[in-house]
Amino acid sequence: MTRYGIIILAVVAILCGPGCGMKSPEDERRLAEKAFKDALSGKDCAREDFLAAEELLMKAREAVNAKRYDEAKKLFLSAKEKAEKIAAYVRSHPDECDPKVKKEKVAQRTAGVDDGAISEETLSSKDPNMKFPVIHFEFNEYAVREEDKPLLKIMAEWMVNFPAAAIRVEGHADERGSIDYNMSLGERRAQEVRDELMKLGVDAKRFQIVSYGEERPIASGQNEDAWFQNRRAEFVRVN
Amino acid sequence: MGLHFKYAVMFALLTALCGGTAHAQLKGEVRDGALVAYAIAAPAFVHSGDTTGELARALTETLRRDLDLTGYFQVLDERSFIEAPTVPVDKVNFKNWLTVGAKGLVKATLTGTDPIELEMQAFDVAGGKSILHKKYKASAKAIRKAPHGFVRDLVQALAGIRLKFLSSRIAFVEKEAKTYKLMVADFDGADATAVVTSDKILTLPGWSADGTHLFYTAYTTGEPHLYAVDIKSRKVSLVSDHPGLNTSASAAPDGKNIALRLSKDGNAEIYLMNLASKALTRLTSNIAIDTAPSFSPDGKEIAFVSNRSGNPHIYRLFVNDPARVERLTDQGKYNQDPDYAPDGRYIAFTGRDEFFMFDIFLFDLQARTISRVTQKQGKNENPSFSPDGALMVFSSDRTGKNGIWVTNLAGDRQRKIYGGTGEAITPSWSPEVTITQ
Repeated sequence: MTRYGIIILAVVAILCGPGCGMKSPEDERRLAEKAFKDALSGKDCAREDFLAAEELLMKAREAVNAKRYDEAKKLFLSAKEKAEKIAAYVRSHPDECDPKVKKEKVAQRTAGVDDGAISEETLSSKDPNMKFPVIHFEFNEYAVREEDKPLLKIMAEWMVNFPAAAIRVEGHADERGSIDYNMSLGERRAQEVRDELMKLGVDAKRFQIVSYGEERPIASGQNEDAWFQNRRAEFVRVN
Repeated sequence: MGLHFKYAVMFALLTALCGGTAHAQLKGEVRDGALVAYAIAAPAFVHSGDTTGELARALTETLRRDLDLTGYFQVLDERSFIEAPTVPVDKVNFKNWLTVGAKGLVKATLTGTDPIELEMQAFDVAGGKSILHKKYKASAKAIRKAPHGFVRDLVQALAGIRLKFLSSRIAFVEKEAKTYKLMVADFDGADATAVVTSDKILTLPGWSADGTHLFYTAYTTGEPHLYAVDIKSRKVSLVSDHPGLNTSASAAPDGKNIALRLSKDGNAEIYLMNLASKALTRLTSNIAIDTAPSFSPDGKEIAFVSNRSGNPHIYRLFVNDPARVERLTDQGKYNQDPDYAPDGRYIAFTGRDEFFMFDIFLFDLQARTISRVTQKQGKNENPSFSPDGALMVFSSDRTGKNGIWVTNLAGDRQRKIYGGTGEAITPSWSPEVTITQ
């Protein structure tokens, strides 16, 4: 009996290595925490993965506290994997994740789009034939961007100055994503624009809303500049 | 409905049903609908006279494509064949077919010009026995669809499974310059015809429960209203013209109701509409976008898309208790276009991966896992199950332009069925219907 007992102990020791199941997984913890630190810049642009990694890390620490070391080890490994994925995403998507690059990019294309004809300076809300501004949106977003609010202010002034005018707000999406969902995105964009104008004192009755989804792009090409131009709300006078 | 065509009814003669061994053979190799290499030889159809040469080639092609599409067969290359196709069925030397690795053999002969008589027979090569023997008589046009029925019956005989997709259609939208066409084709892309053509936007087709009508959204009046078109008579009727979006109809299996997306209350929500009374029941109530409904096969659930978590994800609601909503996908940030499988086990959807590519994925409702169907082959969107759940149709731009493709659920057998001059998008697979005319 004792001989068998020794053999079993020996086998367990060989299989597990020192401290198997009995020691806190410090190496795994260190690696996971380092990977998580490297993934911090993905907090916004890879938000869901980031939240998942954060949760895994939290659960792993809880497991350590409860001395469930095997479970903790697995959780640290998953957290590390998730964090590495986020870091890889951040590297391959500087447009979205690097705040500096993102800001430059937005400035560039805003300048590109508004170049010439339509900008706050060139619009006159006293001109009955004012060329209406075009409002642009971020990917998968329908909130009006701060930089477009001055354009809406002029549009509202124009509508106050010309109270007989009825306006159709046409919402559009870029070609990415489903045709079905993009029809709603276009609608929400047009609605948000209308709601902003209502806040500025324009009567809701003067608006019609229509979404064309991704069916009516104004720029061709499969790049962010074209997509940005296509994610838009336009004003059309209907009377 | 109208079987008033002269040769509409093909008469078939079933001489020998499956031998027990053959049945077990194919059945034993079916694993979760995965591909089975039942090697089959389909030599060129034999015809008498020059006039039917082209038809014989087309029929041979149809038979081989159908066998391939089922996923159950490995169609052997005819260049390896030893025995001439012209050898009559009673003179076949089965050793010649064993040598080229065939387990099964299909021989076919065409006679006459119009009507055409077509005789098809399938053999178990090892046993030298007939598995299926059928004769068809139909117009030169209608006879082109005879292989569909033969392959359906062959799979039924060998595996005991009815592949409904072999008598089904696919609808989609084809966009070219400023013209929109609502297209209907056979499941293999044959006989593609425009049932509605417009210079206004046509979008998001979905079949009626009986496969006789298509629901679709058209901007005929300038607003997105929902219409139904009878695909045979091409008669169009208005279904829904509430303010805002009227789109995305999914037919309830009872044929009496549809689920659809309306934004009449200011925000996209899913409603149930009784087709006879047009009475509406609102199913979702959320400030987020709720859209793209797809009925479960038992009619009790609806899969849909919502961005209530911030990004679009796949959810399901329970029709009798619509407040009970369950989120299904938690991977990725952009999941759309759910389609409920006919067996109720899977929901197919379009997802955007970490490289920002759009691909087809499956959510397994039993295992609660996601599997990937397409990868690294352009943009793949809008999956729709075949009526038997064996295949899915989707659009893909992998060849440059959007075309219509079908795939098995594993994704290792993807075939292009339609590529036109325009962009072919938003396919929808019909229920089982009669596709002969």
